[in-house]
Amino acid sequence: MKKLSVLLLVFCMMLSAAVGVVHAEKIDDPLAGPAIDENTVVICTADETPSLTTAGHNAVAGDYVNHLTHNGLARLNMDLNPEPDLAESWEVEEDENGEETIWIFTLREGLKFCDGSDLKAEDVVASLLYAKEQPDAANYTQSFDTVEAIDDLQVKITTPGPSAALLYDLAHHCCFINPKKLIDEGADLNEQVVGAGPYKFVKWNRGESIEFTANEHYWDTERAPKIENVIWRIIKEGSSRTLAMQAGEVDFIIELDSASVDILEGNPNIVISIEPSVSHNWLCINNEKEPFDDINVRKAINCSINKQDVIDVALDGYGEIARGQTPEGMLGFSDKGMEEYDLDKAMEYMEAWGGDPASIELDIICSNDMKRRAAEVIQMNLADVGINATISSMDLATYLSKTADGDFTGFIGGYTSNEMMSFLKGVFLSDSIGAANKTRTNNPELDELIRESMRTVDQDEREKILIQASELLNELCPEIPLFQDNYLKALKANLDGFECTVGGTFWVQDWSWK
Amino acid sequence: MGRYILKRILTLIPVLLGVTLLVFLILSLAPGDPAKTILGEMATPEAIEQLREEMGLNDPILVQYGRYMGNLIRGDFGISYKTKVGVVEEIGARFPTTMKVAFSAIIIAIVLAIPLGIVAAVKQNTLVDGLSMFIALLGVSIPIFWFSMLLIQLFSVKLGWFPVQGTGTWKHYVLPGLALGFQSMASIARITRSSMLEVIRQDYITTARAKGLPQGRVIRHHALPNALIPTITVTGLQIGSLLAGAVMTETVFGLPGIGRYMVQSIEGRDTPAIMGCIIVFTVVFTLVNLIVDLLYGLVDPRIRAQYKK
Amino acid sequence: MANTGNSSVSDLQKKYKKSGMSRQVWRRFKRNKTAMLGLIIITLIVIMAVIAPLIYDYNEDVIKQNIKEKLQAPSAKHILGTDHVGRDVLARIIWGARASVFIGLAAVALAFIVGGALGSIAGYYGGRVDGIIMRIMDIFLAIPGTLFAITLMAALGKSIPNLVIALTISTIPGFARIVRSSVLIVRDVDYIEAAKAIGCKNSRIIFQHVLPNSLAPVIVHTTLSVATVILTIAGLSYLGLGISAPMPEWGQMLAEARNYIINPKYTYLTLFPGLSIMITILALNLLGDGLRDALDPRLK
Repeated sequence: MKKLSVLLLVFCMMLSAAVGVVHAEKIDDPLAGPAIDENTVVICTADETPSLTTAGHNAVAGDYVNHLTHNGLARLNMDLNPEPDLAESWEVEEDENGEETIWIFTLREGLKFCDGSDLKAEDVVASLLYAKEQPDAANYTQSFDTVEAIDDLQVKITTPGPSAALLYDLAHHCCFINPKKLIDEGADLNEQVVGAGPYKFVKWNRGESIEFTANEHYWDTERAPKIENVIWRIIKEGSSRTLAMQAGEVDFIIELDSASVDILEGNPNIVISIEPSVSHNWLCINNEKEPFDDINVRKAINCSINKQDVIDVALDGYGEIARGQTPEGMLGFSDKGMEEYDLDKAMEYMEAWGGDPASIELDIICSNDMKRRAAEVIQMNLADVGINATISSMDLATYLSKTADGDFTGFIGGYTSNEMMSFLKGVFLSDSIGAANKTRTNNPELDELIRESMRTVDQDEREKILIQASELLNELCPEIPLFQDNYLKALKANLDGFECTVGGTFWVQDWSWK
Repeated sequence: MGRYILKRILTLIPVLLGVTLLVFLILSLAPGDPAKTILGEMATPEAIEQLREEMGLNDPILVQYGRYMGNLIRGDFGISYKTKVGVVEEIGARFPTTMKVAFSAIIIAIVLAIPLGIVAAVKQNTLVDGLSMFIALLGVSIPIFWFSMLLIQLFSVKLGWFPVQGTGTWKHYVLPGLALGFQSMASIARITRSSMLEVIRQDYITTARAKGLPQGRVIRHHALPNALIPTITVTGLQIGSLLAGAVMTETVFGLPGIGRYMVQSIEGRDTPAIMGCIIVFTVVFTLVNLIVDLLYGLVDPRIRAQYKK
Repeated sequence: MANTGNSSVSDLQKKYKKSGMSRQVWRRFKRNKTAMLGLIIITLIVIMAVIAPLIYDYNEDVIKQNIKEKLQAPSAKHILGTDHVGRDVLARIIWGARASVFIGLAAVALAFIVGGALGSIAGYYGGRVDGIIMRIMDIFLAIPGTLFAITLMAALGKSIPNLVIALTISTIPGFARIVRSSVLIVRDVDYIEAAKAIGCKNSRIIFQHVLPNSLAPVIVHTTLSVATVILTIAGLSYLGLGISAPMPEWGQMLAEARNYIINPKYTYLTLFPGLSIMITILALNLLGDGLRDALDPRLK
C-alpha cells in the first residue's frame, strides 16, 4: 500500500508541474493577432541561409534575407523587369566600335548605409569588383568587365559586348552594394552586415532565427518599412511550420507544405496564398545518348506522359502544366509547337523512330521524394507505350556530379531563374554543357539566338528573339517539360500588403498589420 | 586517485585519435564532389576546379587528414563548406541547446524512472510491477520521432501547454526532454528494479526487516543506496543514446542543436561540419562515461579500494 | 588417453546441456506469460514477413500508385486506408515487415559472427591480441551507435547492402565486448582448464566449450540488438538515410506520412506504421527479458 502512495506522489508531482505550466502563462487569443506584437512580423522558412554575405552564396534562402538588408543599383518589379533602385537613372553609350557597351549609372543623392555612413560611387565599384572575384557569384558577374567611379554619384560600367543581362545581374543579390571600407579591410561581411536595404541586421541565432529591424536611413521613404521588426524563423519540417502557424507562433510561412493546406483552410485567422511560379521542372534526358538523340523518341516520351497526373501525385495538385520548353511567365515564352499528352501521337512518333520501345533503357534519377513520386507516374505512363523505365534514388551531391558529367540517361530536374536570358544561357547554351545544360543540347542556331538576345538591349526586340528561341526549343524537344510548381504560402489574415512575383520575391517593407 | 584519473584521461587520447581517423576515412568515401555541391548546378567546371584547389581537395587523403589534425590540435575544426564560418563557432552556438535538451531529458528520465523501478521491485510480480515495467518497455519501443510528434500533437496543438518550436524559455525544453528522456527512463527503471530486487534479498535487508524496521525505512536507508550503484552506470551509458536521440528530437522540435546541425551538414555534404559534430559528440560521450566510472568508484567502496592500489 | 579425456568432458557438457539446461530454460520461459506473448508476436511477424509475397503482389499492391484512391480512410476495401499516392497501407505494412525483419536479422547475424569471433579471440587469448582488438573496438564504441550508423550511411550512400553494412559495423563492438566478458568468466573454470590440460586445440576449446557456455548473455544481447537495429533502420529512414522509396519499410512509411501527422483526418497514416514498430520492438524486448530470466534464474 505504501508503495502505491509513492506512485501517487509521483503522479501528483507530475500533475502539479503540468498545472503550473498552464498557470504560468495566460494567452489572449494567440491565433488572430501578430505572433509577438504590432511592431513585429515573424516569418517562417524551411532553410537557413548559408551566409549573409551578398556575394558569398547562391541560395534562395539567402536571397530573401539579402533583399532585406541590402540592395543594388537596380531591382526587379512585379513583372520581373528591372527598375531603378540605388541608381536613379542610367544611360547606355556607344564605344569606339559603335557598340553599346558603356553604361553610366547615376546614384540617388544622399544615399546612406544603415550605419549612417554615405553610400558613394566608390562603394559601388568596390562591391561589384569584389563580387566578380567570388566563385559563388560567377554566374551573375559575367555581364560586366570594368567598373569605375566618375565622381561620387556616377559609375561607369563596361560590358563585354552589348548586354541585356547587365541590369538583371545588378538586381541580383550577388551584385548588391556593401561599404568599400569593409571590403578594403577584408572584414567578414557575414559578421558585419552593412547594407542600404530597408532593414538592418540585428542578430543571428544560428540554426534558429535571424532578427532585423527597420533601417532609418533607407532611401525610399515611400516604401519605408511599416512593421519595424522582422524575425526570420527557420523551421525545417513542413508539418512543424504549419503547427507553429496554427499555434500562432509565426505570422508568415514562405514554404507551406501542400499536405497542410486542408488543415489551415477554413481557419479564419489564416490566408493561404497559391501563386504561379517560373520554377520550371522537367524530365531531363541525355540527348547525346542513344536512342534519345533521335527527336522522335524524345517527342514520343513527351506525348506519353500525363503531366496533370504528375502534378497531382508529386505536388498534391499544386502546380501548373509546363506548356513549353521555357518557363511560362517570363519575357519571351511561347507554347507554339509544344505537344500535349496524347498516346496516339506518342505511338506515331515511336513508329517514326522505328525501333523497339522495349529496347529503350531509361533510368530516371531522383534526388528527393517529390521527384521520386513524379518519376513513378512517368514510369507507369511510359509502360503504356512499351518503354520500361527504371528509377534510381540518389542524394543531391551524387546526383549533381553524375548529371553534370553526362553520366546518366534521365533524371527529374528543374531550374529557377528570374529571367529568360539566364535561363536559356544556363540550360540550353552549348557552353553550359558540363554545368547546367544537362540535356547536353548543342544547336548552333539556338546558341546564336541566345547570344543575340543577350546582346539586344531593347526589350521589345529582345522579346521577339526570345520567342523565336522558345519556339525552336519546342520544336527540338530536348527535355520533357513537366510542371511549374505553385508557391504555397500562408499568412495571418490581418497581415496586409503581401505580394509575390512569379520569381518568388516579396517585399516585407510593404507589409503592415491591419 | 588523481593518478588514476590522469591515467584514464591519457588512455582516451589514442581512442579519440582513432575516432578522427576512422570518421575522416569514412567520410572520404562519400560520393560526390563537395565543390560541386557548394557551387550548385549552375557552376562552371573552372569555378569548381578553382574551389577544389582552394579547399585542398586535390591532395591525397592522408595529406588532407594530416592537415586537418594539425589544425584540430590547435582547436581549429576547419571552415564549414556551406557557411564558410568556422565549425567551432557553428558548433559553439549550438552546443548549449543540445546540452539543455540532454539535461532536461536525463532529469525527466531519472525523476520518472527511479520511483518506477523501486515500486516495481518492492511490489514484484504484482499488477503494479507489471504496469511499471510495461511503461518502461513502452519507452524503449516507441520510435523517438513518432513519440515527439505525438507529444506535439497532444501538448502543443490540442492543449496549448507548450510551444511547438524553437528555444527561449524552459518550456521549450519540456517536450523534447520528455520525448528524449522517455527512452532512457525505460533502461534506468529496469536496472533500478533488478538491482533493487537483488539487494532486497541480501541478508542485511532481511536482518533489518527482522529487527522490525518499517518497510519504507528499510527501502530508503538500507536498500536504495546500494541498489542505485548500477543505476548510475546505466544512466551514464544513456548519454550515448541521448546524444543520438538528440538528432531526432532536435529535428522534430526544430531546436538549433548539434544533432540537427549534423543532419543538415550531412544533407549538404559539409564534411568539416560532420567531422566536428562527431568529434564533439564523441568527446562528450567518452568524458561522461569516464565521469560515470569515477563516480561509480566514489559510491562503491569496493571499487574505491582498487584505485588505491 | 587424450582423446578419451576430451570426449568425456564434452559428453558431460552435452548431457548437461541437452537433458538439463535447455529443458529447464524452456520450462522457466514457458511459465513467463509476457515472454511467451513476445515470442508469439515475433513468430507471427516473421511468418508475415516470409509469406508477404503470397498475400500481396509487390508491383501491383505495394508500390503501384493509384492517385484516384489517395488518402482514403480505413474501409472494407483498404482495411488500414491508403497513403498519399493511393497505395494500400496494410499491404505496405506487411511488406514492410520484410525490410525490418530481414535487414535487422541480417545485420545482427553478421555482427554476431564478426563481433562474436573478435570477442572470443580477444577474451580467450588475452594479452596483446586482446589489447589490440579491444582498443579498436573502443574506438568504435566511443562513437554513439546511431550516430555512427548515420555517418556510415551518409558516406556509403543509400542502398540495402550499405544499410546492412552500416548497421553491422555499428553493432559489432557491442557483441565483441559482451562475448569477450562472457568468455573471460568461463575461461578459467575447471573444465576449460581440464580441456587445456589434455591438449585440446584452441579453436576447438573456443567453439565447443567456451562459446556455448557464455551463450546466455549473448542470446539476450542478440535479441535486444535486433530491436535496436530495427529502431535504427526506422530512424535512418526518417532522416532520409535508410531505405529508398518506393520500397516499404515502417520508418520510411512514417517519414513519408510525417507531413500528415498534424491532420487528425490522417492519423491512421502514422498510427499503423508507428504501432508496427512499437509492437515489434516491444515483443523483442519481452522476449529478451524472458530469455534473461529463464537463462539466469537468480533474478527470478
